Amino acid sequence: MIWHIAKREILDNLTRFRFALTLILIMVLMVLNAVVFVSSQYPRRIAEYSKDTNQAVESLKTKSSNLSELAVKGPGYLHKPVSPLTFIAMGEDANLPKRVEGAPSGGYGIGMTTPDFSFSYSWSANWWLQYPQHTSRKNDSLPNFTELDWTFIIGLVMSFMAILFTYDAISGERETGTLSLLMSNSVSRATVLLGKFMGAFLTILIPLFIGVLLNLMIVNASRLVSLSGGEWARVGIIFVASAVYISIFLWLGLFISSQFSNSSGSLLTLLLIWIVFVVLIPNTMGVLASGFQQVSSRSEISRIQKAREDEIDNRYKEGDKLYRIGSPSDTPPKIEVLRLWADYLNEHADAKSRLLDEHLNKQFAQVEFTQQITRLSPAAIYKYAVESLAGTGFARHKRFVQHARRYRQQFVDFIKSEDRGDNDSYHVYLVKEGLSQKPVAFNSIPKFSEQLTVRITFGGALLDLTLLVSLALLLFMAAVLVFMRIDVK
Amino acid sequence: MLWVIIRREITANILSFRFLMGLLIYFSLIVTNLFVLTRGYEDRLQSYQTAVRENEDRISQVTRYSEFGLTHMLKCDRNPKLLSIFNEGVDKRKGNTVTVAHGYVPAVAEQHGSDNPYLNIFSSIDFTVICQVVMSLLALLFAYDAISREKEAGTLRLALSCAVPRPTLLLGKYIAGMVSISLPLIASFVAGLLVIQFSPYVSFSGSDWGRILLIFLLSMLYVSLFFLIGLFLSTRTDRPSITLMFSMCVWVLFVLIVPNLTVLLVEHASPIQSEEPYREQARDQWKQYEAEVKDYLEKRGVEGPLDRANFGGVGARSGVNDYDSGETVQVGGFENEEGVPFAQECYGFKENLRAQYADRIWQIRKEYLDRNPNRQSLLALNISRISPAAVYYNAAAIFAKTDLGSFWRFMEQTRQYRREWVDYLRDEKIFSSRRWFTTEFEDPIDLSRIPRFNGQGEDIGNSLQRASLDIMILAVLNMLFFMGAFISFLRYDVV
Repeated sequence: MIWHIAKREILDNLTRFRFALTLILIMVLMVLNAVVFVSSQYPRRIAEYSKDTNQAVESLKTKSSNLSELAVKGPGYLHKPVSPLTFIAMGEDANLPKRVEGAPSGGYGIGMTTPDFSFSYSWSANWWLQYPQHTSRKNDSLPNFTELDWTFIIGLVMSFMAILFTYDAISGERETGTLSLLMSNSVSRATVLLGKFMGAFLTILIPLFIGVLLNLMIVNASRLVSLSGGEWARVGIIFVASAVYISIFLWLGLFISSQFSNSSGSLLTLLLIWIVFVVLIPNTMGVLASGFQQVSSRSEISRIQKAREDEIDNRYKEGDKLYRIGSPSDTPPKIEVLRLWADYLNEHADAKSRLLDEHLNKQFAQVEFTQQITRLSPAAIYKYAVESLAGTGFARHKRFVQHARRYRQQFVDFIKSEDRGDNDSYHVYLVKEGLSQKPVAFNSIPKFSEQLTVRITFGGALLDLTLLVSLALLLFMAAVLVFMRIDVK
Repeated sequence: MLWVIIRREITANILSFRFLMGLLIYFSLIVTNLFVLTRGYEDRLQSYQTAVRENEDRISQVTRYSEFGLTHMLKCDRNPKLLSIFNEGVDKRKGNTVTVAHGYVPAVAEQHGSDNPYLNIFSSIDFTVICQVVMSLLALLFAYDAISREKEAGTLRLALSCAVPRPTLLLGKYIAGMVSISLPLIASFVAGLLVIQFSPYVSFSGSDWGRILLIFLLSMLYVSLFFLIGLFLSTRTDRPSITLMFSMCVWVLFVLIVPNLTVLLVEHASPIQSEEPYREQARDQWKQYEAEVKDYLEKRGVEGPLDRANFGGVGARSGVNDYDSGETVQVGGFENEEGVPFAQECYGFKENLRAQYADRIWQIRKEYLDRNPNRQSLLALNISRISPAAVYYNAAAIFAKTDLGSFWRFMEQTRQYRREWVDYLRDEKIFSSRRWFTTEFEDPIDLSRIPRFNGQGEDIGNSLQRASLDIMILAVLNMLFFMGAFISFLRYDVV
């Protein structure tokens, strides 16, 4: 019986103007998205990424001629790989940094002669992980805009269409009086509602399916991107998530439609709900949330940094302790001088590192807090889920930074273990005279890489997927409950 | 007769469900939004004031003039625009501090860096965007069934069977609709203004009030356009549900899709070329400059300007980037006092030449900016005019002084300020003064005569002139749709 009603609904929908409109709109947008992606967006970003990584490799090669230099200067720039699924969710990648930098900055030299001692040494600071704001955006004068990716096409346009498909499903039949006729047959109300849902759901899946198919065909035909099995699986999960997301709006439509006896009333209410939850909430919360949690400004951070560094300097330079017993550049150097200088330089690097890490963590926490609030909107939940699955967006960026931090440790461990292999070295980490001066085999240096597997991305999206499914179930129950109790006349 | 129709329509509208919903949503949105944006403005104002103070502090530490060349360059800070509460435009996004030196013509602005840059991933909306999205939708919702519903219900026939001319009926419906929509608009506007007034940082000047009024009138013009589109569509169909469908399509297309699409198209159809060739040219210029200076010194038989005055060398810090160069020199005392005037002469030549080269390099950089980012932005602006929503936003940004043109104006002012500064340095013969390089004077430099940056805002007449094209587009579209609705309605089959 459900199937009977669904079939009738589908046939009815297929001949309607709104179906043709949805089909054309989704097809045009999906094709446009794919064409823009393969013709310029992706090639440009890939070219930029490979140029950047090549430069990074070259500079790493240069540094590998001397272990101590590599240890001081660090691994260099770590670039964030571009996800091949960017066409599904751009994830504001243009506004997020494209790399972190494992590099030092600043060099110093001191020469002094006093009656007691004379000292001269020049050095550069030890490397630490820095988080500059280099994005791939070229022109910041262009107005902010939403990328035409799947999250826009499905999250915004399809959800709107889902409302247009269901707003009059019940209220329209009540208006024309056909609902009471329908109910006079021996069909249960739940069957009618489910039939109506299935009808609308299957009809709306047609344009979605055709659009997605066209989109993937163009992307695949370009040979620019060859999606691996894991990536296809992720695309599959994204499609299912999209279907669940659309069903939320279909159930919402049925729920509201059951409440009204005229279809214009239900449409108006639905439109207002849609505007608030899909358009407004995701777009206002950023401003609101930044007011709740304050993060220190850049100038404040540099002030704190300077204070901490001064404190370290004062401690070490008290009574010229640092200079009195000799210089690391003496030949041969005294081991206690090397240790003292290594402690001094490490403390500096650690202080900077800790401060920057803490600051970045706070900034990230603020973003996550804002994301929590925007999860009031199903469109935002959907966007975050798809971004996680596509390997873009803020969650991915955070994971990238975490990877970079783990790599930092890996790199340090590598330097220490290489150094242990050299018997001429003093094994003092980290002052350049205290480590091996021999070259390092370039291939043995651990390289930064980031693996995005189905399991990792699915794990990241699990919360949002669960929320989507629960929301769909909730609205389903609400619609059924309301429909059970309405007066069909 | 017109009055009767208007009164009847207004009563019907105000009592309707959509009016209540619209008023509620619109009101709460505007009030919370203006509250939040006012706080944002306060934050930015504070960070601007801090920046200005820090700048003065830095200048007051200067003991020799060459410090202005590199280590203590002058800074121009851009004040946040008060009316950015209504329209953020590019005010928040663009940099707000600019460095100026005789060896550097400013072309880009940096951020104070007061906030969390990662929050940029969240788009934000302001008063204008709410108006752009919600008010246009509300206008369509009020208009879509104005004619077709009455036809469906059969009341149109009754109304026209009286001695009411069709134009009067249409005009009545238009005026009544506009009055009903402007009620929530005015109410939220007034409430919003009250919220803003509570802030201790905000005080509107006379011209601000004028601009607010202009933004309000512009919003009305925009809303009226969408009302007329709805009315027009309503006279083209027999059933309100079809009108509604069409109206929604128009709305989704022009408010949501077209403004996003234009940026995308422009970014991909007219991408920005590499800046490297221009940087290369600029670097060549600096090399030429170095060669010229070297030549000048060699002819005088020295390697450095201070060679005759001081044999022990000189503390100097110099920096050359692609587009700028500067040098700060420091000499404690002189071994040969007679060599000092010669050094002064040399620095006079060298720094004067540096300023000239900086001007030449600015021309190179200007060419890049004009051909690439600026051209792209202008193109995006022009193409976006396909959508009335974008036209409205641009015009409102001009009135709020937050549009790109206002930012460019600020940048032009900073360059004007640099010219003043260079003229001052030349007129006072500071390049060839003893205080250019020596630290023998402990007391700071007399700052009172140094020109200060004073970014004058645009006057209201100028803004009106710049916005006139956008206003005209909205007005013409209004007229077109009114005529369209009028002609359609004259031929409308009322039965």
